[in-house]
Amino acid sequence: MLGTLLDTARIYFTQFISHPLTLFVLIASLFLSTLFYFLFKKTDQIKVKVSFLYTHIFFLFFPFLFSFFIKNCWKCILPLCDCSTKVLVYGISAGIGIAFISSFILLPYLYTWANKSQEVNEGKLKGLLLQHCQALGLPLPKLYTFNDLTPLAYSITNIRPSIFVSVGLCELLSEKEMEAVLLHELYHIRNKTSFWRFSTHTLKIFSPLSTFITLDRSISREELEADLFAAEIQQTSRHLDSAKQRINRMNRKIHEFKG
Amino acid sequence: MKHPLLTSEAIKALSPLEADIVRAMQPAGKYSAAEIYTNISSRQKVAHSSISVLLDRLYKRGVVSRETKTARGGIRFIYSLETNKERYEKSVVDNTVNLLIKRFGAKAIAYFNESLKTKR
Ligand SMILES: [Zn+2]
Repeated sequence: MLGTLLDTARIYFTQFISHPLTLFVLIASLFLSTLFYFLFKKTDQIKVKVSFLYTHIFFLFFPFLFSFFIKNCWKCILPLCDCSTKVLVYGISAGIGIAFISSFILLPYLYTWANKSQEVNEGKLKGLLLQHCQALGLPLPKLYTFNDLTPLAYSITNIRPSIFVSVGLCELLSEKEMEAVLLHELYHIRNKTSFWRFSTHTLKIFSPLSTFITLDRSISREELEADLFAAEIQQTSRHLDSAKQRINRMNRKIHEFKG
Repeated sequence: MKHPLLTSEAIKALSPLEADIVRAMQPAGKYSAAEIYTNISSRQKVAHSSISVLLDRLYKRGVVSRETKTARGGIRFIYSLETNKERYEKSVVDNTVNLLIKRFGAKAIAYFNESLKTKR
């Protein structure tokens, strides 16, 4: 099976580079892909960065798309392989596509669904969120709690902005400390950090160049900025600092009882 | 009122502090971790976080159940003793077996093996 597949790939590739049009498309796409990769590396603004990243990946895959959609190649590839190989080739492509889309949509919700997440529609926390969103001119994200003692908070922006906090975190922190956490997450939502992180993961999967760059630096800078944002609005970093201390202590406690 | 599922054997399978937590709960009662902490800390020195972590452990083992309550005061877990008999019995057996294995290790496992053989 693998042998047939490799043979098909080899013939496919030979066809591809022997035709002047497809060869031109291949070289131009790879050039543009590399160009956008370097632009991606050079920029600091997240929105621009993400769009460069997607352009980079688009051009990386464009030759394949192109060949699939011009008739010549349909003719030259289809008679060459048997039915099962075709099923395999299209099956794998479709599988990757479906996995990509579903992970984008579903993955963030999967964890909280497993932990019985509940939407919060009332109470002080929701009130604080509303108040800050109005002041910042941000659309109000949905607020969810999930059934976990471990102090956790995260946000997603994939479909509609949502903030998730574990019930354990709510029990642990004071109102001011929870406000600091919400502000930190609001910063992520404003910057579409979860989309950005998702994109960098995409890059790691789909782009061969990704091994040469470190993504951690921009993520930790983003975290620092989110903290600064919260401290600026609260006009002190006291609440954020004490929240972190409590979270660390609780995590140590949980770890201690596990062992 | 005594909990119909909480026999003395079931309590023996718990650690001392876990047993205190279970004893602090009435069968039909609903409690936040803070309430249980207040109850127990009036009698002995204990950290609030220890109560929370142990309640979490009891929940994961099926001894207590919990729900999330969003009230004016904030969002918290409300614990109650597990009333689902099947779930509860399973948790008692699990806890007892784990306790035996923890205390007696290989000896306990050898014993289970022996008694299974003779029962067949
Ligand atoms: Zn963050």
